[in-house]
Amino acid sequence: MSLLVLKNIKKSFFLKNSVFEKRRSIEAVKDISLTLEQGVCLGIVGESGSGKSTLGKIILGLEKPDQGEVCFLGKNLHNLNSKELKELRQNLQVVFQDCYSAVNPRLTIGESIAEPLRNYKRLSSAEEEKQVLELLKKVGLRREDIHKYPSQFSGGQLQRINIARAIALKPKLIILDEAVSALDALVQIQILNLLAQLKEEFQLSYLFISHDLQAVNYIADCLVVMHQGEIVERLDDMEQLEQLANPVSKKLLSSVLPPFPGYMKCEEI
Amino acid sequence: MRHQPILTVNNLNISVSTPLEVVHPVRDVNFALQSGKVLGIVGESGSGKTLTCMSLLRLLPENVKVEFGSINYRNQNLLECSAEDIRKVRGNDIAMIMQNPMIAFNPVRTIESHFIETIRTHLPITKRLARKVAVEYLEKTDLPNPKAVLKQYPFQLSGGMLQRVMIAITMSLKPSILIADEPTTALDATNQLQVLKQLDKLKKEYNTGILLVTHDLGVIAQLADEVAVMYGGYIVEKAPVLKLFNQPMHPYTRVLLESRLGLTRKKIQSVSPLSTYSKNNDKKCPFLDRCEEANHSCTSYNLEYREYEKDHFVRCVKIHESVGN
Repeated sequence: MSLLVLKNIKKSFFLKNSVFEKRRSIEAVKDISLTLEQGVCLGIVGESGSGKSTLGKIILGLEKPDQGEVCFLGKNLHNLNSKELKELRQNLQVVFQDCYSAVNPRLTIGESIAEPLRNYKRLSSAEEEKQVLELLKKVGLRREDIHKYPSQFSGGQLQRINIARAIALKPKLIILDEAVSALDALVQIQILNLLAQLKEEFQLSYLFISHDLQAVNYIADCLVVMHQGEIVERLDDMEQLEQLANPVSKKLLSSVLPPFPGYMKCEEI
Repeated sequence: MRHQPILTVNNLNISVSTPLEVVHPVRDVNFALQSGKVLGIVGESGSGKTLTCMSLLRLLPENVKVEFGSINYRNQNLLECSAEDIRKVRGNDIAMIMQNPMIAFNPVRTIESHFIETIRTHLPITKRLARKVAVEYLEKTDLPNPKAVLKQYPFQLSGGMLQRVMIAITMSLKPSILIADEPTTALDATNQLQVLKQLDKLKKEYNTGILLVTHDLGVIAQLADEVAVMYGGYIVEKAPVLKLFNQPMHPYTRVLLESRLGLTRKKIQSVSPLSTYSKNNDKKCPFLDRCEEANHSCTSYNLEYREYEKDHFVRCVKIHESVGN
């Protein structure tokens, strides 16, 4: 059984530019089908506005699709009562791009990380602290950090805290929505290496949403390219990245800057 | 032949006073910018690159002070000239574009009114003429349908388009220096390329000197002629771009270069995660805690900034030792 199956997902939003205008609909996601197996990292790339984040939100159950099914662990996510949904969500976690707004500034990070544990498990406070410390250690933070507040951390450290929170319940799937895009090059590598290591350790699956083909290439096992709400190309073997054929994928490929000076990419386009 | 630099920064030291202590985020920064050239400044967040840029136009917040040093632009020390004079320099001679174009525009005014305001502040021309100038420069950006763009509000354009509009506005005054502070960080890859292309055009057509601040080495490789690497408030290495990429000397520069992601699936070793800068003004190497090549001689450190080869400056005691002896 596949971990996650998406069948013909559609989602549109309504908007209008001025008070007098008739409202019009924008199809953010058009007819998308996907399957994701256990222990696999699937990269979703596309330009801004291609619908990749909307797709992530649909899988999380934060947006309801107009049509189609999201089957996670064999159950249709949008067809469950709240009790069953809560049960299922243990296995489904998310890390967002903006790490500062993803944590409550008034909770210490120990409390933030303990939140999912409190939601699902009845632990004594000593047991809880033990688990939180273990998670902190796993993501490379220190014991003392447990009593600090989010404002005392840098972006890269906070993103690691978000990851610690996401793995607290040992989920099956983590959705990483531009999780490394806002970080410096060195920190980016650290986070990517951490994610790769955790994936091995817990047999995690990732849905890695990004516009950065280089980061996706570093961590993903397979890849889909999205454009205007549709999947325009799929790639099962990352070694064949250069062989992407669709014009959209080619544009993404060609906008990766060469690593050495001397090639003037600007002039080609 | 070497040209006279258009902007020189000597010994720039900046201090920030907080209720608890005084920290020194920028120390001993020296560089010179030539017209028609791009000087790239690379460094991680907190290395002092943005503060350096802000100080050039005297845009520092109140609790941040330039302790000593000088910034010379056309025989004029920008740190000492009057508020009136610096207003004339801003925009007209030295322009700046910011990281997030969404915040830099006023959301209740059209692109056109931004253009007209900027142009008319510096040039004595009529609104009608200013509008013509605006169309002319917007056409040069290769944005589709420039006339329609003028009538739009900032939130109707994408980040990449806004950043290109921003560059068009700065171009319309033909500044001799452009400070670009992380111009493409907030943009996706395809937009990034178009913005870089436009910066390149600005440099070639108007002979503008560009100070390009970024943490992305790909952007540097693309545009810069000379690169300064900043760490912990110091410039730790400065060299022409090819030399820096081919023969990095400072350990931090090497780590940076090794950590570039590419399209090959090579595993990259990550360096120790903690970056704690020494906040007080002791003369210790800022990279000491993370440096893998550090030895006993590094602890008693004099932070000499030495020219190792022509135009190649390094601030590392180990390299001085190995070359000097």
